[in-house]
Amino acid sequence: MAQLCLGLATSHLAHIVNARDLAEPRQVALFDAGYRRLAAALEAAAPDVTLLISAEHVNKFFIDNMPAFCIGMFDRFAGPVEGRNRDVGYPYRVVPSDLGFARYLVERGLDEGVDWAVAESWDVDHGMMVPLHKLDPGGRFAMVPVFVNCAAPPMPSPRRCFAVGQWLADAIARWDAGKRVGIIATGGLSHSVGSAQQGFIDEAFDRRFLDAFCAGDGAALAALSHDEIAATGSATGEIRSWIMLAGACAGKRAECVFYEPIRGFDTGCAQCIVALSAGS
Amino acid sequence: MDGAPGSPRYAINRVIHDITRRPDGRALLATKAAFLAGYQLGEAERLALTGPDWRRLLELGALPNLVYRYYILHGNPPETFPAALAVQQR
Repeated sequence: MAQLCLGLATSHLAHIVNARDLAEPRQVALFDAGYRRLAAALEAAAPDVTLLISAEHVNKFFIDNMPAFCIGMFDRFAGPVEGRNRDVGYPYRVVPSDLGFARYLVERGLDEGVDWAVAESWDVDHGMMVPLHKLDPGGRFAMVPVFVNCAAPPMPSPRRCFAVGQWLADAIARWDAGKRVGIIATGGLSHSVGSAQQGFIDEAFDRRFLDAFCAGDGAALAALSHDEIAATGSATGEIRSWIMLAGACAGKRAECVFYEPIRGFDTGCAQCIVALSAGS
Repeated sequence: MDGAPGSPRYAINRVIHDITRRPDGRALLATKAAFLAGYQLGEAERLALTGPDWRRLLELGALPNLVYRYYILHGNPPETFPAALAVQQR
């Protein structure tokens, strides 16, 4: 059987790579240090394959065919799509993936009520590639990209995200592969893009969210409403990826490695490591 | 039935999605009316896109991510977006 060996969560904004001078140097240094902690955790856990769960910013997924959840099913993918034809401060590159694991999750899900959409080609965007650039720039670890719709309402509810995360953990535990599996969730916390609230960071919400996440309080995370999340920012909905991770690691406590409301980045930025007993 | 096939917000999002993904997107702004002629848009949508009226675009259902991308395509500094919206406050 496979074993869930790693749970990481991080904000994914590209400013930490290509607009660092917008923020206070102290905050940038702490953010970088957090990434180093997460990278060390990834290195120590050495997963055979990792699910990389993120929002997407209306690059691949558009409202002509918008899934709630999608898995990339291939042996490699590339990104960031924003950097395919221009310099975005970090390289466009190929990332190894795991078609067998992705197919297993899709097939089990379709049998068991989690109707994944499937992408067999996917240039992922900064939501996945910025964290990978900071955590695994050499592409040593196989990553299976998982999309959750956080950009185009109607979006999956926090309760559904939590349940899909729980299902992922169960499916991983039943995977007859003897492999070690990690999960990295990216996005959030409170921020707005393209709205009148842009620049507003709801620090109180962020801290409540982190408290619940770190306490392993899945009930509190699953009980969040669409409106409650949207009120804190047009893009805060990206925390759905964190809620999926919380579902997968249900009940496990996490360490908040970093949190700062970074005004220069217009975002409440956070990083956490879930305390998994097996192999982390 | 009036209007283009699809949801009420579809066409306006389609336009922004398309123009902001094209390598020549910024150049197309110079002939915006001609570009928009290729889409089935209502008058309100056409005016909001042509203005551009950022607030109206959001009211018409354009996704914030896309409106922001359209704003940057026009050469505006990203951090000025809230101020631009405020100017268009009705």
